[in-house]
Amino acid sequence: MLSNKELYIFLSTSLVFTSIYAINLEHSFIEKARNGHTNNWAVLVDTSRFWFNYRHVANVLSIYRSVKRLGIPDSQIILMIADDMACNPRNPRPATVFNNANQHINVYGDDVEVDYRGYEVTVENFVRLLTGRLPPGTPRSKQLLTDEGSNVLIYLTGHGGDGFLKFQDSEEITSQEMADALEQMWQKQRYHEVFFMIDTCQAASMYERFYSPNILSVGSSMVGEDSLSHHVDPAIGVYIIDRYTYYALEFLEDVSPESNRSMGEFLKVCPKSACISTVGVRKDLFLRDPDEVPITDFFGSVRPVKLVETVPTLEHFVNVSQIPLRVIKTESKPKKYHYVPPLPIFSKV
Amino acid sequence: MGLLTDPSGDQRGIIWFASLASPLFNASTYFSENALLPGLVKSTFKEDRFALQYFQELQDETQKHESSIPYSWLLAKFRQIGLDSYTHDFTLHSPLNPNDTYYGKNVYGILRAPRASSTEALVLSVPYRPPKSIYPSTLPSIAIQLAFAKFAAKEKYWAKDIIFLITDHEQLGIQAWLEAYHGVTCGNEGTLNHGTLKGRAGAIQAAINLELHSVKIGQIDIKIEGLNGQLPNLDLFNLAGKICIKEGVFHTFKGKTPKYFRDPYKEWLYSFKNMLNMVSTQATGVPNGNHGLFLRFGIQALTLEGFEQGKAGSRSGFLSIGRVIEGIFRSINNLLERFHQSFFFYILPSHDRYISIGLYMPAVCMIAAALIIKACAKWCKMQENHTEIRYIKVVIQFIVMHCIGATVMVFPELVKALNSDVSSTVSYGLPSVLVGSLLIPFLLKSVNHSEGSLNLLCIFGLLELGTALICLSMNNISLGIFCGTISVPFALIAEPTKNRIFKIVQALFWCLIHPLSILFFVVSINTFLMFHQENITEFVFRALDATKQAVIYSIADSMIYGNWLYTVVSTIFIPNWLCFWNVICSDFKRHNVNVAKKNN
Repeated sequence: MLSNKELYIFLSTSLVFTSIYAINLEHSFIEKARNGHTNNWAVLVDTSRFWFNYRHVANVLSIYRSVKRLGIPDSQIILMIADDMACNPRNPRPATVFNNANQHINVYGDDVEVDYRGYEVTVENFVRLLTGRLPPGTPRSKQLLTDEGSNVLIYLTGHGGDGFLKFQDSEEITSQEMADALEQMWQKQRYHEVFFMIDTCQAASMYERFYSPNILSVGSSMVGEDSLSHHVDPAIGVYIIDRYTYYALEFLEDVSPESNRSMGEFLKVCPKSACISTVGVRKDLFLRDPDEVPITDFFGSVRPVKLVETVPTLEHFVNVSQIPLRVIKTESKPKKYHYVPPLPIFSKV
Repeated sequence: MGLLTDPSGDQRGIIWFASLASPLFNASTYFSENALLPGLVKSTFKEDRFALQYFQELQDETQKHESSIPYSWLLAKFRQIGLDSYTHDFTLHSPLNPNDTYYGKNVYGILRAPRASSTEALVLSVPYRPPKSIYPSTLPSIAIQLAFAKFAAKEKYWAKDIIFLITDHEQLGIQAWLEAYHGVTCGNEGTLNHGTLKGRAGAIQAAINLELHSVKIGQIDIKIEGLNGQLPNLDLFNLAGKICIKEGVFHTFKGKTPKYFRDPYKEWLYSFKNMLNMVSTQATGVPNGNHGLFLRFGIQALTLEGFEQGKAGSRSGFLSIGRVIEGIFRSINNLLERFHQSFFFYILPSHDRYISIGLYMPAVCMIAAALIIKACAKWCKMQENHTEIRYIKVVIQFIVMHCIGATVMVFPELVKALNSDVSSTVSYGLPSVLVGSLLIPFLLKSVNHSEGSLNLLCIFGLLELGTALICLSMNNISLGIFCGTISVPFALIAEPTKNRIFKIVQALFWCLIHPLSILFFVVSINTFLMFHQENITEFVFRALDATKQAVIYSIADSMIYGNWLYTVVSTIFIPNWLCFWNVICSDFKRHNVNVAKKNN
């Protein structure tokens, strides 16, 4: 809570400062902040463990790879993975996770930052993460530090049923709990807009109960339908990716941070002929027309870059006279270092 | 009283059971366990040349060992492949003759899972048969086992250890090895000395027993019936079938493949015959392969028996067989928990359809319910007629019958304790005890039976038989349904009677269903099927001899393996039979005629 408030104050003061001192540079940015979002976050969750659920890990890591490529930094991605497929002893390709039968892309590359792993992926942690009610001392990497200008992408995959999503074979989050968590986020001004994407069986049941504004939702299947896997990798011996995520990725692979593809297009990536299940979309809570919304509003990141004509000096921003002058001492001799034993040896003392 | 006196419940049960064979009433098999991922992975086994080479070497090696296992050669091969290899010695003190002792030696190698802790294991076992053995050779299976070990040792995806086990002396070897692995004794103390194991892996999750009789395999028969009628999880059976189909190996269950007929009667008959085939194997409670002894330890296991001659045109070589083994092992390697999703209690009318416990139990319950309803009806009638009952005497009689049963049960051990030859003593002693017990109703003439007391004894017998049948069917449906079908119709008509002819007819019928006579009939049918060209006297003597052998083997099985067929028959069926025998044969006075008439 405190950290949020601080952050909020920090952000607003920084806005005021910039608006005062760099009016001609930052004016459009403030406008955008007033109407649109100022930053992007992603919460990517795989809720199921066990080797035969390899595909869910591949799903979530593929989305992770895409949003990272499109510009959301690791510090603003919360990645929750319930099992470690790369190091599973059954994996014939150790230390890798692939999302395609021909093993083109290792989605478990060098720089995957998993924030919640294994048994940390619980309903409680997930809801606390969204609502910002984490215990004090939670590391920054495990916090969703969003504000009223944040666009949040929430991606969930695992095994679902009518009105619930199973976590780890031991508990489940219901659609009502999910809706209430989002409402809390709204009331605490933790988001500007949310894109809620879910790839499970009966996925549409998860967003049915949402009642908070500015949420665009898409689910891989309607209530009563199963979401299916796309294909098997015979070299690894598992179903390697789910259909909906597969086609979503196929679309995302062609998107670059500069492209003008819209969310409207993204919502149509998986027609029934390809997905077999019917992709469900819920737009009523979302105020804008998805066809007008660039896909980078959720999958990319806001990076306010301004071109300036002159080289700005410090006087442009701060009154130099107010900065206390620090007396700089120059040492003629470099400091000598000497060896210190790592721990005192008590027996000798 | 319509329902209570209607004894047709057993007929309905039998009809129900028989009709279950029709595809209309049973369901096709399916996989319940998600973790198995059957056949998704591409087979990469190509060590068939090594298998052939091992086979030739092994053939030369066995020539030097007429009746023992060439363990040094096997150990050397295991070591060469890179397994932890060990031998295991065991001793059998014959349960039938205390002076006979047999020795055996198993050989096994453990492939450690490269990236997992050794907490779980799988077993690939082969019974070793020396050239002198009366059973068909299994040398090709040892060759393919070694080749598969060679293949598996270089793969890095094993999450469980694999134990390659070659056992000596058929089922004795595997029983001793399993007892040593788990540190228990299943039979009588001091019979099978299981020795100790020098190397161990984790808890065994599943086992495949291989018995290939040829290098070229025409058909593989999947065998599942285990000790005391236990069956492996249906998922394992389905898995074996599915992988065989994937690799193009012709596989059968009970030597038959599913056939499809247009005529529903023919279709039913075909499946019914197949189902009876399974029922007859399961009812004996004797495992039909080495897999049967794993089941007691919660290890799901089955035997793949390969025959050279098959109904399929083409024959599969070591490559396909190796790939079948690879497919099965990679699938069970994926398991996360023990097999638990699918059925443990089922009957198979063909290898792609099953009858679950939920479908067959009503049949047995109907059969048993006929007995219980009959008992209730009798009790109600007695209450109406106000007959005189001597409860204490009836209870004592009932207990005496069971004491006789208990005597029969401990008889072999008593004989053994007296240090005499069990097989000859038992084969004469046991029949004399049983014939002696037939005289009880005539010896007890002085007890002064009343009709009421005899009816009460009959009620006790009916209730005991009904309960026993249901309990038995819960464990071994085939034995339960077999006993039920035979005994229930006669038990329902058993009645204390004054009519001399009715009494004799009943007694004759009742003699026919004595456990020993049933055993004799079953054995004679078996003998007839095997030696039907012999003349009648030769045949009878052969059948009698075979019956004697069967009794002695069932005693030995109960002492070595803990087979409970002998115990169940001696403690439940023989006393129960004697109860009814008493009811049928005893004379009684009719004290209550007048009272009954008054009531009417």
